[in-house]
Amino acid sequence: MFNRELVKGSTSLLLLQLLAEKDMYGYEIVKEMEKRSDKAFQVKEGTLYPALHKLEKQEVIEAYWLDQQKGPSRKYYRITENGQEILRQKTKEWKSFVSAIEKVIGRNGYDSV
Amino acid sequence: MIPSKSAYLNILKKELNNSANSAELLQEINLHLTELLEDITSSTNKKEEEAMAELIERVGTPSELASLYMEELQITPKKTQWTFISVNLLFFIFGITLTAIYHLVSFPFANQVWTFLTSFPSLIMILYMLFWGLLGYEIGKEFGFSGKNLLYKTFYITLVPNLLLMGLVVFRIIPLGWFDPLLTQPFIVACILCTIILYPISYAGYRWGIIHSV
Repeated sequence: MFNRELVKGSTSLLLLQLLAEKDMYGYEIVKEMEKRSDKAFQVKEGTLYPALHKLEKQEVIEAYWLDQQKGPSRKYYRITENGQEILRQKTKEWKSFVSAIEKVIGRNGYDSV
Repeated sequence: MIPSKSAYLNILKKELNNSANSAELLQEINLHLTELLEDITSSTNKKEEEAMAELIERVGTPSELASLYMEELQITPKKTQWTFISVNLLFFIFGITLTAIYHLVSFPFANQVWTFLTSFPSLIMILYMLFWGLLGYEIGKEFGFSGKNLLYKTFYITLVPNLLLMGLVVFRIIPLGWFDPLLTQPFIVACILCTIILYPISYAGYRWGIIHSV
């Protein structure tokens, strides 16, 4: 498992990236995150819903209820145009950060400290 | 031990205590738990009561879930607005009190503080501009794009004491001599220019805050 703070700091970016690809509901996001990360990211519901609601409050995502053919309506989330703009900036920042870290720790072929 | 999903939701409902959007959150969590429970029971062949232990281990207890949600509700637009208005008012109360003591009462410590502060007007001005940048930054960081109106309102309400003091000095209701040696022509020009750029500074802080909000 990864450092809790590291995961917490990148949760919003991961959520925005997933929602940029398609509209999703809470449980679907959890499953998709687990699937893509080979279960390395197991976002707890106590982290997920406050994070989603904060992003909604900040108008980077928006929510809507969608009727299902079977069962009750589900609350879906989708990224807004503002969210797309933030996602572009944060992805660029994250890539620069990873590249800089890689330059430092990946130098001279050292794999571990 | 919570025996069922409905028991879990009942406890969560009590913990949320009718907070904002709690009904919608409960509906959302209900659907989430239903799917999670189905997944657990189908993959482990456990009954609901047995599966609840695994569900709680993963989701957390209702009180943990509620406290994380309530934490998010702690910071409201009103609280943020009044924090900045109050801090700016405190600056003014401190400045007015210090000036009055310096001119009306002979108090050595106040004289020293006054002399010290009036020796660095540019530094004080820069620090004060940073306060306005911080105002925008905090609103942008907490409320993102939805904070634009809040920024606008907070900015203009917070600015009232500044404009009031400026008026009192310009119309000489407060004796100009009280602000010696600060009220030089370059300082007055700098004050006017700084007041003009206060909103752009707050807005730049707001945009910077938005980027750091995610």
